[in-house]
Parts: sequence; C-alpha cells; structure tokens
Amino acid sequence: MAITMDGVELGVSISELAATKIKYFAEKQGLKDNIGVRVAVKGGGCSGLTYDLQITDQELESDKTIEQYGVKVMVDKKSYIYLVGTELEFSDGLNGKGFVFTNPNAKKSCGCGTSFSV
Amino acid sequence: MALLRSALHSITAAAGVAFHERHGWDLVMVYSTAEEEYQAVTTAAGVHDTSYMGRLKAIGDDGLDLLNRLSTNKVLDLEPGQGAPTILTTDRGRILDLIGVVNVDDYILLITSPGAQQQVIDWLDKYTIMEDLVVEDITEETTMLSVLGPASQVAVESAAGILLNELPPYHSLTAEMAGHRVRIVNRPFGELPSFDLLMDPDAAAGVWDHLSASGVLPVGEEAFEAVRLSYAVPAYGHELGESYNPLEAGLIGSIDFTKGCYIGQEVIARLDTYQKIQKHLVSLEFSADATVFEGDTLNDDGREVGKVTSVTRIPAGQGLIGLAYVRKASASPGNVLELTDSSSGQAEIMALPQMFGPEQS
Repeated sequence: MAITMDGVELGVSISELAATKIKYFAEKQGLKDNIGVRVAVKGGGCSGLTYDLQITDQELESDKTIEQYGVKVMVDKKSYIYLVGTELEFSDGLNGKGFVFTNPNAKKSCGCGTSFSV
Repeated sequence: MALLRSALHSITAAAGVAFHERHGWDLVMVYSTAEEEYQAVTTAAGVHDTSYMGRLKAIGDDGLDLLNRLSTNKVLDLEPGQGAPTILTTDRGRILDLIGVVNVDDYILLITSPGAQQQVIDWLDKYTIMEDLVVEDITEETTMLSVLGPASQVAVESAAGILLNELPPYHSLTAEMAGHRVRIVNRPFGELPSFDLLMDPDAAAGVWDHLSASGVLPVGEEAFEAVRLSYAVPAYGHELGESYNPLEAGLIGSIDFTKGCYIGQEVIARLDTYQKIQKHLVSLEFSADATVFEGDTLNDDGREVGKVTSVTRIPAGQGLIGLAYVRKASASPGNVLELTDSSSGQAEIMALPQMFGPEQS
C-alpha cells in the first residue's frame, strides 16, 4: 500500500551527499551498475526500532524504490510504513555521525539517533 | 475462567491433597507437610511441578538475533544446547519479563514467568518486522518439573542414568527418564541448584513416580514459596515488572554491558554509569512479634524508605522472611527497619540479593 499526500506517493529520499557516499562505498564493494541502498527497520536499538542500511545492486520485487542522484533507494515493504517521508542524509566531519535518518514518524529517538520509536 | 491443570493433577488429586488457585492454575499447596518439603529442598532435593511457568517455542532463523536486540544479555551466539537468562526491557529500561532462552536446535525455547506468555509473545511480535520468526505458546502442551536442592544434580543424574558434569547454567541436554524423553535445563534458583525437566504431558506421571520412588520428595506451593524467599529469588508480579528496572532487582549478572544496543540499553547503561539507582531489592527477616502483609511500608528513623513485596513463614517455624524494595541510602545489610500501616514489628535487612551474581566480567 502506498501512502500519498496531495496525490503524490511518499517514500524515502536521500540527500546529494548521502548519495555520493553510497556510491563511494558501493564502488569499494566492487559494485558498478544499478547501485543502491536498501533501507529497512528492525526491532532493537535503545528506543525499540533501529535502522538497517545495506548497499546493494539487487532490487527485490517487493521493494519500494525511488532513484535520486543516481542511487536507487530500495525500501523493504514491511519497513515502508515506518519510513514514509524519511530523508537519509550524511553527517560529515570529525564529529559526524555518518548516515543519519530524519524520520517524521519517530516520536522518540535515542541519544545516538540510530534508534527510534513510533 | 476455568483454572489450568497440570498433567499430574488427576494423579495428585487421587492422593487426596488440597489444591489452591495460583497464577491461574489449580496447584497443590502441600503434598506431605510443608516442613518436610522445605527441609528436603534446602538440605537434599525435592521435585516441584512448575508446569505453571510459561514455555514458548520460537521458530525461525532470526530468533536469537531478535532476542539479542530486545533483551539485556548476549544470546546471539547460543549454540544448540546452550542457553542464558535475559531480561526483556521497555524503552525506559523497565522489566517486561525475565526469561530463560535455550537453544534446543529445532527452535528456541523461552521459559517465561507464570502467566507472562502472551505479553512476551505480543512484545516479540511487535518488533518482528522483516525477521523470520514465529512464536507459539507451548505451556499447555508440555509438562515442566523442577528438581531443586543441594543434591538436585545427583538426583537428576541418578534418575536419568547420565552425568551432567559441569553443565553450565541455562544449558540443556536430553536424556531418558523412566523410558521417556526429557529435556534437562540447568536453571539455578538463586544460589540453589535446580534442574528443569521438560517433557510431553504423557510422560509426566512416569517421571514423577520415578523421581518420588528414588527419594525426591514432591514439594507444593507453600514450601516452594518459602524456598523462593529463603534464596531471595524475585518473582514476576512481586519483585519483577514494569515498576522496576533490572539493576534495582539485582539482576546485573544477566546484563551484558558490551554487546551493543537493545531496547532500554541507553537508560540501563546510564543508571549504571552514574550510579543513579534509587532503590534496591533486599531480603528481610522479620522480628518474632511481627505481623506483615505484602505492600506494607518500611520506615527508617520514622521516614518511609520502602515496601514489602513478598512475605512468608518458613515452615519449620523459624519465623517470617520476605523481600522488599528499599531506598538506596537505607538498603544495607544489618539495617533494621520498622513496619508501619496495619503491621507491626521490625525487619532486618539480610542481603542485597543478586540472582545471577555480580556484573559479568
């Protein structure tokens, strides 16, 4: 089931920097074409749910996929409901946190930001 | 609602013993005399029908991985035959339940507190998103007997005709007992050795008779409760539940502080690091003149510092013992607290029990 707003299907988006970093890690893994990231939610983390990122070139039929900045963002079907409207960004620099999720569904997050509850 | 009955109910009923409702089950209070039964468990070995405890079957490849992400102890790498105690905690670090996790190869066996099965199933279901995991309640399809006491290992070994050697806590193996296949789980009851025997209900009568015939005395609820409080073992609904966190309950030995995140980890780690625990579980001995009820308030120098969570009389007439949560500043062994409310008398703090020992090194 797709969740829409004003007729537009909502999904997970990524920032340009996050896309660049995904391409960088994908190339280090030896991937060349169809580069993407599968985003999922798992039980756990301090607050109940935690994010799971996998760099991949294998798109599944059940994934909800969008493409931005040359990177496919594949959202696991069961995780979609927890991730609608989420933006994946990259926090760079010495104190950077790496990939960071801005998730409008998260009511609470843990200190390090990798776990949330809805 | 009709009370649940163990597979042994008809046999014990035929022996003329009295039953009483507890945990939603129709349970035997006393088989012979509570004194004899208490004596057997604390000095030799006794067998208690623990079928009222919850048993769940978790099937799927991701069981240990999910449990590792939802509970305090490291259970991720448990091989078949291995097990560990762990605590499912809420995002506020409070106790949902203390469970035993045993990898029995085909599935993961979860031993829950009495009546906590559905709550544990619902909790696991809530966090099963992509994982391959189905959890079933097998409590009523199985029978569980616990052989408790200093001589319980010898009793189980001789009844099964095998050696358990140094079977670590929560590890398990299968054996034949009275011609029936039984899974033996080493699940210590505080500092008291105890072994769970899990079996098909059809095997229950044979195993029970076999144990009784070899001198392992049947133990009812009354003596069992006295043993529980003598060994300061916290129980769900009394000392365990969402009002408490695992550090307050003395369960630090079942917390792995290095395994990474789980639900409630951030709160528990912070409480530990900054020594922010407000209260402690304590074991109590009440004065000879005391009258005590659960929920009674405990005062220290006229100031309220805690509440009694369990109380019972030791069957051999040695007085009243109990458990309580007491504010940290007053929770020292030897400290004498006063009972208030409808009760009277005094309570001496004996110890700050740690069911699974000190922090894992």
